[in-house]
Amino acid sequence: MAAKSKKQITTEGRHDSKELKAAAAQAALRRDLAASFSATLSQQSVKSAFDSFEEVLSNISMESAGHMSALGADASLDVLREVYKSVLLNHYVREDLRRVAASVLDVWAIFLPQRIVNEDLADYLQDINRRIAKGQRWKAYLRVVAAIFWTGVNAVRHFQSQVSKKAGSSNQ
Amino acid sequence: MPLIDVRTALLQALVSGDSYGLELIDRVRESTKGHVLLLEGRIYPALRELESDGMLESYEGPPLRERGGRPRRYYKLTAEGRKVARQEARSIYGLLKPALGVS
Repeated sequence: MAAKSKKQITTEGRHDSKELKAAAAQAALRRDLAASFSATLSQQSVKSAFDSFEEVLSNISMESAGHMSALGADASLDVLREVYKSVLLNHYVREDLRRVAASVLDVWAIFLPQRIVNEDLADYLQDINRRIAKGQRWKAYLRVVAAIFWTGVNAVRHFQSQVSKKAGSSNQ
Repeated sequence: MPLIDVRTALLQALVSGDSYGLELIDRVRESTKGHVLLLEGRIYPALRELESDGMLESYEGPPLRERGGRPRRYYKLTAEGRKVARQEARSIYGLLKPALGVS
């Protein structure tokens, strides 16, 4: 094999670096588009997750539209589909977690006095939903455990005080 | 480690208006810049105790979806509770004067 001339190597090197630069620019555009699109989706939050992909596309932000025209139609659609899929997935994971937490606490509520259910347990549930919305999955799980523990303790205290009140009134 | 009593913290937090358990925790945390953290496990019995001592009154709000359709229970200071809160604040301030360098 004949050795490449110095001119040939230099031309190939320039060509490679041009391709690398183009690929890097393309990757940056994809990242920017993904970021602007997921920001739009998160602003529309739950409603968007139930909209079809086409409906979401009709409400695209100016920023995303700018990135799309720079990136090209086909590549843009790929990026948007990926982002949409991950947003949907996240949404359904959160909904599942919300449902599981609510069901567990609803079952536990059967054993508790109504006042503790409406006050302590419902406050815990509100806090758990807040954490799930923030994406703090593990903290939400821990809050479910804490809710069961503390409402249990408070229910025992509540029954004890009822018993001692009754005992007090019967002694008088 | 903050040594403030839960009941004192709750009374002081309620001086600025009616509130419910979760919001009271946030209110105390924010007003003490995170130095006093109340545990849910301790505040609800304390709120009920304060109510049975006549320092607080409670009422239910409308049912809310994020609470599984359950209402919030709001607490407010009674005249007696407001008086006790003021006395407590004065005595705590008196205690803190030397540490704050106030004569």
